[in-house]
Amino acid sequence: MIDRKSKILFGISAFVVMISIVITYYRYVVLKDFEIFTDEEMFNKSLSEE
Amino acid sequence: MGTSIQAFIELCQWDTARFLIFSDNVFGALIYYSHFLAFFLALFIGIIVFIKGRKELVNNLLFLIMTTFSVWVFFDLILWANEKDYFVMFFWSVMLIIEPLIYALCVYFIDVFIEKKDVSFKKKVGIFSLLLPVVVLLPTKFALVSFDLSNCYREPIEGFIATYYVYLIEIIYAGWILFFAIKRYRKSTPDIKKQIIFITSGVVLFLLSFVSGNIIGSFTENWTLAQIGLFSMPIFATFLAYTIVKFRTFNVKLIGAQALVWSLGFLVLGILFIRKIENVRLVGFATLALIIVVGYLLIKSVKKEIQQKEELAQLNVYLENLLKQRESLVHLVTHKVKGSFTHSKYIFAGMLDGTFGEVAPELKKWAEKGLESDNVGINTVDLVLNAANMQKGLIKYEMKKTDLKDIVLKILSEKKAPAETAGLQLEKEINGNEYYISGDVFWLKEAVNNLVENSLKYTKQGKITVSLEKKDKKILLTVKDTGIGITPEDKKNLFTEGGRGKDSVKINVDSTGYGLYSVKLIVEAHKGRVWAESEGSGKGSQFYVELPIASPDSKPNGA
Repeated sequence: MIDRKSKILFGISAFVVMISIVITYYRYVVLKDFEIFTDEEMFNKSLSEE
Repeated sequence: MGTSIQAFIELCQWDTARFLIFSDNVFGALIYYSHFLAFFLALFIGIIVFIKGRKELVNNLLFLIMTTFSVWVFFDLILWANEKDYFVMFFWSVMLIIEPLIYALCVYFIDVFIEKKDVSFKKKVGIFSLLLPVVVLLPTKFALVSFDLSNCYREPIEGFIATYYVYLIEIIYAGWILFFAIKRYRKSTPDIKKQIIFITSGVVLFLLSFVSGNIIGSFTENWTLAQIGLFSMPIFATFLAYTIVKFRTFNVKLIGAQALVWSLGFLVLGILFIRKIENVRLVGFATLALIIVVGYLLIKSVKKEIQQKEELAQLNVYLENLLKQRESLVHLVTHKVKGSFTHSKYIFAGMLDGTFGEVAPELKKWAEKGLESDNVGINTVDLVLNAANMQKGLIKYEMKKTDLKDIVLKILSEKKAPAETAGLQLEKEINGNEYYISGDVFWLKEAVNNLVENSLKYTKQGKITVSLEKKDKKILLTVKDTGIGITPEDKKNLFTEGGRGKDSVKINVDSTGYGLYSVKLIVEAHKGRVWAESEGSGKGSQFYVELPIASPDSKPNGA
């Protein structure tokens, strides 16, 4: 159905994608390495609207 | 900044999500309805298509598209429901890969569907290499920059990859699909053109409904309206599955009926959780659209099958009548012909034995030829008649324990003279063993006779070797000749009713095509099998008959 060369390509691609997802998970979920942007004025406006 | 981040989060009063997806942060039951419907229906269609053709690449690809889409739907629901900023960042990031991956799989799918073969390795590299920047830069600030808390929406701020690159490659993939389909459409026959239109519109509409949610939501800020995209996706997914069904063949009715039951179930389930009448209308409208599409396909398919069944039943009756007519015709003709042959046979025999007085030597010679010709005629009629009776199950076999070796030796002694006359050697390879089988001596003789006779007729020079051997509780009779051989084309018709080789009449003018057919019927009635092998035209043939060895407690012959 799929030749051996293609199977290797898909295998490597899946591995790279997995690595990328694991690093992303580690960065955001474990390390929580991201900035939280807050515009206080906008925030207060949005709260007052609620 | 005067207030701490934690204070901001608390001020937003987000509900804590249970099982990642259940929370009051989702503002309407419609969101759950649209997501669950899309999730389960896509998964269901994908699994059905996979089960029905797990060896077909095109089915596997649709399964992959559907499961990837289901994962996307599930992650999207997490973004709606979950209050945790780090989960939002993570799942939003992963969706940046999933979305273009679905596009890439659609390109692969449409190519395989139209070309009916796997795409080249180079093309695969081309399709999937476009995803590489997304994969590599996913954990970086090029994908997502930060988490925006300003309006309590729980939204990340997107980087270059999310804002531009993902959309760019999605446009490239969509263009690729259209360009490829149009190119192939121009070169195709009307039948294939129809398939290309079906599959391309299915894929394009599926992808359009995929992006429509984002486009509608972004432009109108109405995220309830944006759910229309998700509602239409299962419809187009069903359409894609139907296209595979239509042009590949598996039971569309079953899928249609099951999809219908699922959608109705979701309608009822959705209504149970909806409080506002406006939402009931929306859910009702979405389900109605689904029911109309699936129901139409289902009714169309059922109607077509009923029509086919009716046509088939009519054809069956017509065929049965034809068979009955043919049988009575065969019996009438063969009996009449056999009667005429027998009558003239006795006249010729009487001329030869002096019943009609002294006959001139010249006339005697003609009487001998006439008698010989009558015998051939009677044998031919017997062959056709026997085959017809065997086919109808009118032959009663008297199964007794009998030695196949005795039968073979008897036939060989009978055929020795005709073989010598034809200048052929008739050899046997049978050792002293016993070859007991359970069978009817008369009909087994007929089968062995037909096989040896067949080799005699189709061998101009050389020899015919008849052998017997025991193999794994079976007895194998082999008739090997150095005759005209069998072409692969003729091999298919060899043991069929009236089946003759392309040039057999040139060699044997009396060829009826019933000799080997009778052998097959007799052998099968004895729970055996018959087959032939040949290296080709002019290279001789080997005919094999395999029969089960008689069990020790079988009734012996004549007992």
